[in-house]
Amino acid sequence: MIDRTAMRAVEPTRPGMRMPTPRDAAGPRAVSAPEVRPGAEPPSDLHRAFTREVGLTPAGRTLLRCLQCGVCTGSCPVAPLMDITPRRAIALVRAGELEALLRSNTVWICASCYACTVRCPAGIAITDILYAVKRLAMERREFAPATAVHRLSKAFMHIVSRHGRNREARLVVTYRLRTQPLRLLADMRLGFRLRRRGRLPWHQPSVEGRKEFTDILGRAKGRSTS
Amino acid sequence: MEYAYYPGCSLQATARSYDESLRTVFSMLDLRLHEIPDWNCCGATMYMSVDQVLASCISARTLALAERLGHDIVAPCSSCFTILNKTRRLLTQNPDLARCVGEALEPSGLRTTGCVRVRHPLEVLINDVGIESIAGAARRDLAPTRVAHYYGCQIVRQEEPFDDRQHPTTMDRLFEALGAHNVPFSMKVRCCGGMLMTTTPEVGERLAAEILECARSGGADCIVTTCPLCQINLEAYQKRVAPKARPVPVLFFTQLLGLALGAEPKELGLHRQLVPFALAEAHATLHS
Repeated sequence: MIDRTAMRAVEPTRPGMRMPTPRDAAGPRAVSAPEVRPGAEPPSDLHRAFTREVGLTPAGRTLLRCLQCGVCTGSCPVAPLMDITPRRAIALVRAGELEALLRSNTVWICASCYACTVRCPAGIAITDILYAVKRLAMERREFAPATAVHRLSKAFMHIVSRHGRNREARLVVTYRLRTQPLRLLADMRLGFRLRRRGRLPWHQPSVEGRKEFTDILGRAKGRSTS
Repeated sequence: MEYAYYPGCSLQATARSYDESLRTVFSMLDLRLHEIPDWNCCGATMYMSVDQVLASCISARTLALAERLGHDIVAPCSSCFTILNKTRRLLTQNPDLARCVGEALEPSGLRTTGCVRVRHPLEVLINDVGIESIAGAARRDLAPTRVAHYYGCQIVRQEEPFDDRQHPTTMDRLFEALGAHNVPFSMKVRCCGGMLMTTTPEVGERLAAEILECARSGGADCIVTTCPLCQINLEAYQKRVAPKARPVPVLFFTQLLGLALGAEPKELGLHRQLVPFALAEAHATLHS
């Protein structure tokens, strides 16, 4: 049983959370999906790619239900730091204004905590849609300009594709060397504290079937369901 | 009861104590864990951000290996738990994706049918053993310990969660039955920042600071969590985010549970804590 009286106390307080501004309320104008707009230009290459990405998840079909209520933005712990809040991001996607979203910091700041998805009254899988945008941005390098998350993902995939498993110590070192080598000095203290407690081994077992694992990756790579 | 155990990469490194305490607690309660032979990384949020087909293939390999064992999977890491569940769901909902994944796995003699469930150890303990039986097996009273229960974000946010999505109470009820005092903690499902602590520290540190402050102001002796990333984000950066504040130990729920069941601190990996934790002396002794 859920204690409803306790639930009231559970609403997270959000210091520094800003109130909605008139700019938020204005939002982007057009909110219809590009493919249903009569007399519109034919969908661009970018739109086709996005439709393909979003089509891989059940999220795509939910997009048109958005009523722009803003619960997603209100629930997001990192919305105050985003160029484009989740509510505006959904509006931009529906308006076909993908480029603005791809150039913003929004998808890179999202920590995929799913708070927006859980609370959306229209049942839109916002996190999954942002994942689709993120994949598109990574695929088209022009939109993933040396962002930290992009580099961390690349370092992570580099390690996992070779060993079949992640190695935390190597991940941080590889990532820092590619981004801010000087920060390694700051990380080192924590690294030593963890190592002393046996929590940061340099060598961790790889998968035994490494060949089999990389074969699967090879066959999966570049496959598209479209 | 027997389970296919998927430790995940973190439990071999920064979260070793989660692995140690989970194995201890499960064996004390007569639950058998069979580690999935040659399991691989779940792909985490990283692969999902780059390539959906690739991400699904990676998780599907582990699902297929577990199906050979024929037991439900126990996945303690919140991220692994969420990703494996998500892949299992996607493969049943999206036949095109399932076909691509099937074609990539098939030459290696692997196949997924989605017949094994992916479960979190917390849910396994509550549903397969039950709070009453666990409380009956307890050999230490947690009475004076004031606990903040931190579920983190991902564990209850998938499509068919085992607890309320915004106000989960599983851990609260479990530890209350073991004598602990639950402190009011409004940040129980707030995101810890995940990888943002590495990529965008100014954002990650702010999120961690808010969660820690909420626990401190409730008077918590410790924070109990279910996720390796939450644990390290909350434990390792305390000095950086709030240099003058009282340090708060951050434990895996299996560590505190193990203490209640009478395990030795070392069997639970408590010597690996950066912020040390021990039960109040009077309650550290065992009763039968």
